[in-house]
Amino acid sequence: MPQNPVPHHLLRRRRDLVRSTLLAGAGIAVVLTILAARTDATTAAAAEERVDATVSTQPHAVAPCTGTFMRHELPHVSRARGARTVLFDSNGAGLAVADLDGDGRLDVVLGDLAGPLTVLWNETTAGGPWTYEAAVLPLRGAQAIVAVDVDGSGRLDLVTTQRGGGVARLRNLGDRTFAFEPIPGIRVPAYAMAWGDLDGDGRLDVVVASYDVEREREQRGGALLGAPGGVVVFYARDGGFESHRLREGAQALALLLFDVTDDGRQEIVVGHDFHIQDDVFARGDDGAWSRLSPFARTSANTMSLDGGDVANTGREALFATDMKPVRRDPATLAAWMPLMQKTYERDAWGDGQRAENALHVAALPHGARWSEVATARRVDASGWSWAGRFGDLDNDGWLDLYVATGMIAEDLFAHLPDGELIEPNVVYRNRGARAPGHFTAHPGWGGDTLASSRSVVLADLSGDGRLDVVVNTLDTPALVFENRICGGQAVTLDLRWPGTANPFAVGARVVAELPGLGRPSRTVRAGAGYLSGDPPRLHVGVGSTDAPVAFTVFWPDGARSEVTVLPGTHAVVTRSENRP
Amino acid sequence: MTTLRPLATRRAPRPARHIFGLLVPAPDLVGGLLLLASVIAVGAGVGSLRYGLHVPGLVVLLVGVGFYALAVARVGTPALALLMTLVVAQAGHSVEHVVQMTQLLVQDLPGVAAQGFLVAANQESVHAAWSLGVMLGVALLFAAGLRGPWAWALLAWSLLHAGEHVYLFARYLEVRAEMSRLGLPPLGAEQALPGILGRDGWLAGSPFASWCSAVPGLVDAPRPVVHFVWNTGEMVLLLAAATRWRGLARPGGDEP
Repeated sequence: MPQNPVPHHLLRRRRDLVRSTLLAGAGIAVVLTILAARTDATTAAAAEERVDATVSTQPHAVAPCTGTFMRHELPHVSRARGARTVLFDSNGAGLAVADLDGDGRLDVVLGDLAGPLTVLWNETTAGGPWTYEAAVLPLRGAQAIVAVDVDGSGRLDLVTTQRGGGVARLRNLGDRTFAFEPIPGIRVPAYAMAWGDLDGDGRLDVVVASYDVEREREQRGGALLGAPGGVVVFYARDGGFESHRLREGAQALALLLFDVTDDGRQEIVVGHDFHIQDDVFARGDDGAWSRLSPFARTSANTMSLDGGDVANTGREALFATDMKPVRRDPATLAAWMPLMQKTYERDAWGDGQRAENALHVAALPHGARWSEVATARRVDASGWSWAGRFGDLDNDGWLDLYVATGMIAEDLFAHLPDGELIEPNVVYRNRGARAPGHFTAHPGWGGDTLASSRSVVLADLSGDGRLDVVVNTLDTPALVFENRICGGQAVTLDLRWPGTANPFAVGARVVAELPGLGRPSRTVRAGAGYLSGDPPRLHVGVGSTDAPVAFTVFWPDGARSEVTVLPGTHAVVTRSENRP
Repeated sequence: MTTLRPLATRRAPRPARHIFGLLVPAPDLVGGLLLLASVIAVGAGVGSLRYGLHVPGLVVLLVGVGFYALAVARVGTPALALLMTLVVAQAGHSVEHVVQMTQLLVQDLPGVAAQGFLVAANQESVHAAWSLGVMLGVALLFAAGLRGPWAWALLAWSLLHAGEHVYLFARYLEVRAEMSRLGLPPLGAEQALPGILGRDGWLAGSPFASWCSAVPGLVDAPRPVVHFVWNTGEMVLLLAAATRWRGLARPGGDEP
């Protein structure tokens, strides 16, 4: 009888191997089934709430491309109030971009700490260069500016936070006229603000946060609004707003409504300066707010917050800016040394804060686990950074990143000429399909001005489907970088929800199906970045495809619509209450 | 003239002595010298920590190390004295790094307060001199016959470590010169800049950063961690090389 050529112990090992493989396979199958079931459940739940939407389209204007931005200096200079620029006038002023006169073209509003608002009414004709008519609105000392329909009138009002004060509103009366009207019930110090339907009642609420160190300085000047600072939610109620305080005291430079927990609802993210831990507040089903700590590591001096789907996965990443030099040459380091000394004296390791930009990406397709990857993705250092904004600048289907930089403060940078730390703005290009969500600095586009920049909005001013860059600076003329970058096509979307208190669908989310590029998502926000107000107009670069693009619109109330739009067009998607 | 003989020419093999046995080299005066060295070391630490006498503490500590070297030299060869002095000094240095990591991770102190025991010694010039000294000591041991894989690894490690500190010292001098040009006084943070390795180091800003990020810490570890690893590695290699080295005997084959 032939002997078994395989020894017993090897046979046992083989059996163990097979058994282990089967067990592992079964485990993976169970996990995949659960994930699939969860996805199906989400889809099924959303499918029950499908609503019709009508789409009207208009082709984008055809404009020549040169491969770079074309720089325009604007007739507006934001200045500090005194003869010298010192802290905290050095923080500069905000800007907003929105279609304020309802003509379909995006207008620009620029704030000034020492002067009134400047409005640039967009007068661009189809296919022509970007042109505007400048006007002045007599509201001085504006910091954050957003264009939002406070009262559901169908017109976008201008809401600002005021230097040393609270919140102001310029009510849009139509015909390019505004009336100053306070918002009933909102009487707290505010620096940053974010608008959205926080309680799910269909009306736009607002959360505001104070920057107390500035207020303390103002107090010495006798100009302080007496109410205590902090983070406060104001719920829209009949006839006014009802306040709910989330925390006492704040050093907030930025606020963002962002879906941290992947439950379809937006949480409140508060970005604090001065090594104070950023806050994340989540609202439970019972209406109570709780504080979350989803991020293992955050920026230590958060200057700006923005969300963007950098890898076309359908989920947004969260980008926070901070102060960290890009260049490491001796001259740059010496210029930065007083600030680096403060960090050296203050920053401990235990609290998970670092003086550098933070890029939080979802660790898993679903859920509230996040990984901080700014260093690995080469966006951790952009200089003394203010607004950091996502936008697909070359219409290749991938979100790029623009960061405004620079600082002027004679009391902080006494060792530098005119107290100014001069640094170029940084344009990062997404590496796209080769490395989704990884970035490389791309100065070749020419958007890297040395002007001391603060607030930034990326929006298509000229109607050609390319995102232009609007920058409010300090002590120099504000800038527009008109986009002449050669690239693919785009779709721009206006969402309209008529007959509601939120006619511009703030808080809605759109997911596009782009074969070969993934499923990029965009969210309608009234503001993001640093003191910057965004238009309720979404921009999706689609690359070189000419095929119709399918979009799923997730409305703020959870209902969804599906629409198809041709590349190279601007579409107005209007929700109707017909349910298929 | 007396010379050390390599192992291959020895008349009879001798059992290797454990290195820790060499730390307490025998009789008479040696014991007294060691005791004196220990007292001086403790005094230096207390003076530095308790009373802020950092510079005197550092000087006194160096005197203590000198006494120790003298004590070992009296019972062994100059090579043994050099080796044991390196071991003891590097062990003390490693303790400094352990203390610094404790201050950062356990006490949660900011960088400016996490300086180890001898605050005055936490300067780029001292670090550069120290690492160059260790490298020189290892080179001298090589000249005295130190060999073997661990010894080669030690030599390479100490060379690289010294290279990093020379780079740091040069950077410090450049930045300090720029600060002077801007009218800035010495602040402290310029003594804590990143070097070649670790977070914000030269490698992290180089085109190789993406590849190097596969090695944990190589381009993202904070400076104290980088130097903790440098010194721990140096200490381990020093001990490994020393315990394997049998060429420590007095001329003529006597046991040390």
